[in-house]
Amino acid sequence: MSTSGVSDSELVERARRGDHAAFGVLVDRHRTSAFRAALAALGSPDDAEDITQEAFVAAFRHLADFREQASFKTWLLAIAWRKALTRRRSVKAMVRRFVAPAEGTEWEFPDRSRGQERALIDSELGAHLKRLISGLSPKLRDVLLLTTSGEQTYEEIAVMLGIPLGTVKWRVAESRRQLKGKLAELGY
Amino acid sequence: MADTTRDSGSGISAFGKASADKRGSESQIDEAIDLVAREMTNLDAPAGMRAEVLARIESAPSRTGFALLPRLATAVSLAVIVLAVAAVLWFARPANRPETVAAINHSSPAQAPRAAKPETRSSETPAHTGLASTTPAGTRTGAATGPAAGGAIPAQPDQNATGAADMGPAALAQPEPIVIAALGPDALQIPAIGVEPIGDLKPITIQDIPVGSTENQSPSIRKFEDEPAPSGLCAEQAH
Repeated sequence: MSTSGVSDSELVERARRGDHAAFGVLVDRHRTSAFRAALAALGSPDDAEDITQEAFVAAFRHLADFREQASFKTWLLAIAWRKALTRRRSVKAMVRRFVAPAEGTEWEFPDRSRGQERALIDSELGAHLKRLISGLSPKLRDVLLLTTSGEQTYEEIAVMLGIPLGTVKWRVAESRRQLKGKLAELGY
Repeated sequence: MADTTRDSGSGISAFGKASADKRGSESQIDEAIDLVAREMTNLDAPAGMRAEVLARIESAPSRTGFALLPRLATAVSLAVIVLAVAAVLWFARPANRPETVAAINHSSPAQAPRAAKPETRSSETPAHTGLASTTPAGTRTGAATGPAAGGAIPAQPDQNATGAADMGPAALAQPEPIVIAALGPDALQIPAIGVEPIGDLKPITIQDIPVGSTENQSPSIRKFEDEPAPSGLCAEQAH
């Protein structure tokens, strides 16, 4: 049966009745959003993939608790975000940060083919920005990366992080202000 | 592991200008920030995630037991550590060291009868005098008891009883018995109070005082009576 036009709510209802295929469709629909959110928190694609899978498994087990007060996507992203934060605070992640060779280099950038965009980001300004964004406080960096990923709206990010919408907007503005200030010190 | 598909759009040109002359406008800096930040999360989830998630869901019941193993191992490890620390602390107390406990265990059976029954002060006394001279228990410690007590052997410390011979070089010497004197004030020294008998009493003679005589009055009373009464006071108050 085709599921292209089926809403998330209908798929959730089917999954509650034990339809694993319906839940598989939900996984296909939202895996990239959850993955990028986890990547924004962790910086490691491997960790982000593991957390995304854990979030989907947890969501399936707790489908009975999903009251549809928010969309399935928002609910799933909140689960993924909590798991990502737990992983970020884990001993393993802390050890990895401590043994990082230098500030801002712990972030694992996507290993993509070297195109024009990649070449530009590897330029001097791109290198500075990568280091400065990685050096932001986690609260500011999280919101900046989530908003620029284009996968979530500001409202979804606010629900996901459990903070007011105004706080999300302030953190975005503050992160940009700090980055511009540091770039200005570098002569930009 | 992941394929990447994303077009940065117009951010490329703005970013290029900014990185070329380092003097890009604020909007160009904003676009550069957007571009770099987007690049940091610009990955698609693996296509095989659906199969992996479904596989984990279907294997969840069998994984549940194994998932508890790390927690169980952690709990057991913590319990062992706590017990080890408690044991170390317990043995670190001087009163609980093994050699001290052993010494107490060795000496207790020998000392217990002594405390339970009166002990002869000297083994020679009954033989020579035939008197049942005894002293209260606890007034003599470390003396030989048992078979040696009935003979003519003078009282000597019984090493078997104290277990001192079994203890190694690190063992402490047999501690001297602690004698605690009874606490309390010394006896009151109250001198004897003697009461002497009363001797002969002389009769007291009281002379008659005539009415109105001021001969035997004190001078202050006499002065008061000589002064005039103050104004405002009646004659009765003045007197």
